[in-house]
Amino acid sequence: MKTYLLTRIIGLFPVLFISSFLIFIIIHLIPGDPAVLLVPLVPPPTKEDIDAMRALYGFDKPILEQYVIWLGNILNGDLGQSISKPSFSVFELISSKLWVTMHVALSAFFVSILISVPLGLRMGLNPEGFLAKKFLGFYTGIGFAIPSFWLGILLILFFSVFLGLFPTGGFKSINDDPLLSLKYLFLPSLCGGIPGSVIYTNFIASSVKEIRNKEYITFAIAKGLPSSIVILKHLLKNALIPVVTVAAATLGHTVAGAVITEKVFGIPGIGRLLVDAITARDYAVIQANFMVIIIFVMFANLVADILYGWLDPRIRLD
Amino acid sequence: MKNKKNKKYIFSILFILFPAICFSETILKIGQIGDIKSLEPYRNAAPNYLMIENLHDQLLFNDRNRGFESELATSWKISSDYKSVIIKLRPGMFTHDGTPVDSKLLKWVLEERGKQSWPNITRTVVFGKVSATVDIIDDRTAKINFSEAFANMESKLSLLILADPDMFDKKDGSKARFNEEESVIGTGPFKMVEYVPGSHMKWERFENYWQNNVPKFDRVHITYYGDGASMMAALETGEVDLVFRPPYEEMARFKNKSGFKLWVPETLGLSSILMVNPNAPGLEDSRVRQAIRLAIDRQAISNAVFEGFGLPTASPAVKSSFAYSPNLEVPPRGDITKAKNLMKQAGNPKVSVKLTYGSNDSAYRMIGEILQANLKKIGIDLVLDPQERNNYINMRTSQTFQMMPSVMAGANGHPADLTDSFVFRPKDNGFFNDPNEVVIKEFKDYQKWFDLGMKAKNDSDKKEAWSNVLQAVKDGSWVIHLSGQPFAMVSSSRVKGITWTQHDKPVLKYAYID
Repeated sequence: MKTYLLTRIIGLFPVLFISSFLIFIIIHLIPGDPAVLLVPLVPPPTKEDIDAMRALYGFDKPILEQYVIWLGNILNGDLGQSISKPSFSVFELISSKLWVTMHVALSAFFVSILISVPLGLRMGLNPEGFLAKKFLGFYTGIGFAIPSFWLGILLILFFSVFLGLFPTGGFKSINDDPLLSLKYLFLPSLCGGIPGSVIYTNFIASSVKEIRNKEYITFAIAKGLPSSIVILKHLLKNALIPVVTVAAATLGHTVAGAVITEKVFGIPGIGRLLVDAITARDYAVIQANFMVIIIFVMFANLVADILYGWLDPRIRLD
Repeated sequence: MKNKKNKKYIFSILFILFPAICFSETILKIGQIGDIKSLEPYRNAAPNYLMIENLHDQLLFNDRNRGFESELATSWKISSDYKSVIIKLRPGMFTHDGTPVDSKLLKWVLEERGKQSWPNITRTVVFGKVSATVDIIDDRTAKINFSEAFANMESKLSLLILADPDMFDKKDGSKARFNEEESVIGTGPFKMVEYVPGSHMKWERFENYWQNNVPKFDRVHITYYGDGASMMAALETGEVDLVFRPPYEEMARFKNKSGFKLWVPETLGLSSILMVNPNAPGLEDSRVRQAIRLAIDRQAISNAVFEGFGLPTASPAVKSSFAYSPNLEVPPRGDITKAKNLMKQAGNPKVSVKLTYGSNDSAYRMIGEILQANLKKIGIDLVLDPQERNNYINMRTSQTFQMMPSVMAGANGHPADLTDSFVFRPKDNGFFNDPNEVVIKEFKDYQKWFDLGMKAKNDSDKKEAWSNVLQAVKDGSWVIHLSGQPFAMVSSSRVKGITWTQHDKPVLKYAYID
């Protein structure tokens, strides 16, 4: 197990290096000159003004040289300075925003699990029932077909404007006021959690359906174990194995997918920071932001692999 | 006995409530779409307007009637050649961190910032590339000398902000960027106490503000929203009291909605314009450019794009300006017959041009579609060319577009204010890359009238000079005015009274709330 872990962790570094190079190159290939966005447009800037701005930020150097400088700074722990928000370092921006995004991503993940486990279990145990026969198709369709931004606006209209139960947007940290934080997180987590719950529900339903006819389940029932023990200890535990791996992997994508949720609900997380940085061609922030997302996805995949081996001893990690 | 007990209870409740009632703070909660562009006061982008006008004071206050009132300056004496001004500053003023607002600060703003590696935006935005020096006469009196004349000197002074040097420099002087700890240090009625990028900004009343009895409330919380729908939902639920620059369709929805008020400045200081590149094939002929100006259905633009809140006008100056001339106007629905005649005189050329605009801007797309239909009637094929925002700005800056919609400020003020919007001064500002000098050659008197306008000493000279400059616009210069553009706010009934500057920036110190 230790060797496996070590190999996997070492294997992350070349992936990170290649990703950083690709991200750097692709971002710099996007048309649009950040120097043009930085110079005041009134009065109209001259070529010299733009060149001076370019030189100030080192955008006049060859792209490979810029990459080497950037990488060197990163290895020294310096993520650089934001050019669109000069008052803030990239580290300051990313670290404060990541904490916010973690609130949204984890609460959305929690909502997904909260919806999908009972629903999937019920559907798997009773595949001929109304939930499995009619509702699952409908729920899957709705969950996949409604774009997140639209779902977010519908949730705001219903829960905030019509019922007046939750705030329309904004963010409160769980450290400051846990109850208020949950109130603010309810709608974003529902918006981010519903699409994930559709995937998990389908996985759990089919997994339960398959396992419930296994001999060890029949044996447990024949032994006279209470049905709650059979379901929770024998059935659900085994049914969740494939779901855990999918869930760990999709948690990484939840962070990346927070862009839309954060925009609709006005949450100042890394998703919104990324969108603003792309618009402003704030290279340092974009690069750092993508690196954070990549690290998060890689870490989630690593956790998924480890969990898979831990939950199913038949899979040998060594 | 029971009565005594009741009295006791009432007194106890009043005792508890009294401090709460007496010391409760009034907070104005504002929503706006998108974060500010920068803490730099002269990043004069629309999302910064609230910050510019309320965290900072200017030397003069420019009201909506084109009047100038004293703000940081108590008096100002402009020289007869419009090249210098003697400023007397108000006594006993301080910036938010206690730095005295005096002649030294004025000198620092106009001279010292120019030496920093970060461009001196303060000076370039207000005075263009004209050089400025400051002679200190005494603590409160200084003379500003410019290398060129400014006919609109007062207007310029109404844009000059005196912000604290600590806002721009690190304490050790190592970096000419913003100081992270100090952030915004202005002189305005509010001071910034918190800013979380992408989330919110909080202000509180500046206790040492020079003007008594303002502002009328204690705090301002500004929340930045990702989109208009979320922001308007927050207004409806009472999470914010006021929204700044709502989407036009929402303005229409809230216009007659009970419990809400729509605030639109009576005269619109912003104009939508169409920039026409006179070097683009087919557009070199001024008759073609004049025909385009005549063929546009401005009423349709006002109705469809600005939901009826726009002001159809082909004049660069609004009616309240001394330079306004009804001769510059075109019927709101356009004059196709005249436009066709002009095209005929030009030999009915086959013109096909691209209209480049930012792909994220639905208003520009709608303007483009209307123009496409209008110009087809006079035989001009308009191809819509949506570009990613940065490309769009790049093309605008490098002037590699053929036609491009844009926005211009300054229509409410002195015609010389329009120079800031690169409408005039073809030599310096306008088509400064104009390789064939199309505009300059055709309007050779244009620059002469412009120069006269900047130096005119009496009202009749001024009017004559500026009316000639505006005539050049009519005669087929490279800017075509489409419509006055509303820059509104919507509030709950809690907000009573909003004051606007001439440039459509809301002044919150005079607002009052329940």
